[in-house]
Amino acid sequence: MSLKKTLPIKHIVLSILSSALLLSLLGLLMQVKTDLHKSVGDIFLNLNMQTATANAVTSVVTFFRGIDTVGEVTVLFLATSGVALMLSTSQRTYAKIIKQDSFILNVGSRLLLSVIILFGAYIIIHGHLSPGGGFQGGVVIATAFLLLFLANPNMDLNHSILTLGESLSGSAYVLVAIIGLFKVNMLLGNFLPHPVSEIGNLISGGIIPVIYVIVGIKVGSEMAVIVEYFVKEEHEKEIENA
Amino acid sequence: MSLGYYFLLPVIFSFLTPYFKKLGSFTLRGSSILLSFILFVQSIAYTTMKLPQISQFSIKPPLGIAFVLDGYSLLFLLIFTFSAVIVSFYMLWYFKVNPKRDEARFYVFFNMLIAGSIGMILSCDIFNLYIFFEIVGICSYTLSAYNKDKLGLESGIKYLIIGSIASIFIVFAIMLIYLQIGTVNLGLIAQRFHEIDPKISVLIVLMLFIGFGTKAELFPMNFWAPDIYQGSISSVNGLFSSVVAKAYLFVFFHLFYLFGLSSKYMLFVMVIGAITFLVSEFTALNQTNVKRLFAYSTLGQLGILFMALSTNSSETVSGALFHLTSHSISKLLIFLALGILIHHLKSTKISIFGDFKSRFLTIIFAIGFLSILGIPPFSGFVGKILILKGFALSHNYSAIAFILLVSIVEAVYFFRLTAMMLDKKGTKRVVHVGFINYILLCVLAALIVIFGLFPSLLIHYTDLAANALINPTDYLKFALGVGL
Amino acid sequence: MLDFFNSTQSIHAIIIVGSMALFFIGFYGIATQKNLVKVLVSFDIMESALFLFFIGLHYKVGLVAPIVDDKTKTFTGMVDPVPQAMILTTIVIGLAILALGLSFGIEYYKLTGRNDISKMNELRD
Repeated sequence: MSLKKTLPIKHIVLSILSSALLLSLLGLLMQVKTDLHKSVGDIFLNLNMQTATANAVTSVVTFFRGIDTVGEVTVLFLATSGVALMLSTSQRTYAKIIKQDSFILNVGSRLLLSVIILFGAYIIIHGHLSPGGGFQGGVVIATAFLLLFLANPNMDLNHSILTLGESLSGSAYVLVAIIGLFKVNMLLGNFLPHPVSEIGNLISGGIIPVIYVIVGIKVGSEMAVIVEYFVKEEHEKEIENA
Repeated sequence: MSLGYYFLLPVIFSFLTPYFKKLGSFTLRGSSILLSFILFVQSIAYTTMKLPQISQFSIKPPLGIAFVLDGYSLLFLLIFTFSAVIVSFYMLWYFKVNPKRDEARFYVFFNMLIAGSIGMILSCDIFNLYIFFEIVGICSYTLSAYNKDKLGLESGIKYLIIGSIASIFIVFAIMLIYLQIGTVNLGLIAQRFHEIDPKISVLIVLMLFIGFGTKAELFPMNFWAPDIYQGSISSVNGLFSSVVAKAYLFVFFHLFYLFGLSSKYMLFVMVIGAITFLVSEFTALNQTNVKRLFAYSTLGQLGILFMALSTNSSETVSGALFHLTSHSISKLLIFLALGILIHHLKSTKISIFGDFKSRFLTIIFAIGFLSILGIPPFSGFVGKILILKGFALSHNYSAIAFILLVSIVEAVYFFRLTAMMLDKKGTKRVVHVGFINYILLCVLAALIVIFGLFPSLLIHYTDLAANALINPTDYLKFALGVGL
Repeated sequence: MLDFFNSTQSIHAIIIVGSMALFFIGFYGIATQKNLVKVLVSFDIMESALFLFFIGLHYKVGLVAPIVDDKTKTFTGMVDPVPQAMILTTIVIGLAILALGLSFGIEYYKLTGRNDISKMNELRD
């Protein structure tokens, strides 16, 4: 009994097991050949000129594998709904926090807010020209709201605007997909003009920047909602402790 | 209607749910019923069309992603959309007796659960399939925690952890496949799978087996399933049993036959299925919680399906698909009726079967039990006899003996429940079944009897499905985009 | 010496060893940790290891990021864009699951005051 207590047998066995698995996997993975076939990505690179998008990753995310991104946005939406379902009942009953918020923090965060949102918008809009895009920019925008919450715990977000952003951007994405079916006979088809000569310009690539703007709005509002639920949760606990 | 709408319509309905909620609960419930009805009617329309059907996204396969509907997926599509219609009507009753629940979010998860399951059976791209896998995953984690009590949250957390482990293995397998053959299209993977280094192909198969086997509730990885069933509400149990588990089963065998693994791993899957069947039925014997009991019964039936679907003979597979359909309907019937019972008696102990007085519910439960057991004239009988006939044709008599012997164990607890219901002693509470539920349960029971008396109605589709599953040349042609 | 590190093969070897070590750190965490938050973090470590593995093995010496600019006029000599797109998707999904898991954990903690997964055993017969 005492031996069992002093020696963490479970941990030792598990670490030996893990390392054995690790070594055998390493032995196998070292043999992975990466150039057996021409990969689909190389074909996409060759085709990418036709989409008139300077960033090939963006054209893969939003166009070639576009339905993945619809699914991904849906996953994020479902997670937000799940977080809201879990944390919402007690949400409305919490009292205002008595803690006085600092004036300097308050003003400073509002100054920074516009800059951060502008930066996020820049990343979203230039998603088809440079690294970045809807997801990254959306998360940057959500950090702006996080900053607001950190500086001023009494802040309330306008829920109807966030819901509007979520619902409209999501529906717009699906509508873009369906319009493609009628215009170019392919779901998610690129129905806007995308001349190859325009490559590298801000307005180029047809629906690709449009989709990324939609995704940016969607991700920004979803992440803001998630951040709000978690921050409010934290404050509620503080009240209980007080 | 293009196949893509099977995913896009539920998505747009879910995104607009906050506005449906503002318009009142009538619009909210109506929208869900309308959606499942549209999908169901569309699926029926596909039975008259020439299969396979394809719907492409952005660019032609094998480069892009496409939804392909062949005979195999058509059968599952019909089961899923039918279950969706039934459950969406049933929820009308549920929210009437539980008015304080968050209705709007339930419908979001319910619609996306169905849409994700349909996406899993239609998608012909393994990474896209993984996304639908996660959509179904998130919906089922949240739905199992929907009660927000201790048990519900515990089951949600457990399901989430197990699901994350499964998805990590699947992501790893997809990455290895892409590294080896440079594609994620199912058709191309099927063509080139034999070119992979045998050691690495074993690793990929093992990872896919762990990933999908965990979710499809195969033996060593199914310890979690009864817990999840116990923690969630009955209609969700019905969905788990008749839609979610079946969707994972679909993917498991779709990949199994597409990648040509049936010759190598047939015996392995068969033995695992047999162990699942044996262990689950024996564990079910001494359960005192009804939900756990039926969860173990579901696991047992999945065990038979795993045994029969891995045989690579079209008779057995067709019988197994018949049994699968019948099991989906029967389990939906049992869980929906159980929900009514639990609501009135406020207990999940097994003794509630002796405590209620309702001739209608007794008949309904008896039909469900006898159908699962395989007693004529119910549809479960036809399914089981077809499976046994298939085994007999391939001279696999040990499997027949095994299934029959273990079915006796199953009979013990189902007859025990039936005897409890028929027992006249003790105080009994009268249970009233509402009008909607009356109709729903009648429809389900009628289907069980109809398929039992006229099996040829369904055998046509299961034969189609079995041929498409075992011999996927048509599917491959469409997945590879030949001649589009 | 530096040439050795500048060859595709040795870079791949380093990436495989490093990412798999990270993967099994996550595995060890899942197997031994009892705190729900730590288990969720372990999942994230495992996922990150996979991302590193997948992205790393698609890099070959001399290839550049798949974005054209004024210098590179055509899409040649670039790394495969598909793995990056796939990883982007998987990251978002991982984030979603993490948020959901944490919200379950918070709610469970509020009800019971526990976050120890080994003591979550009320679901039984």
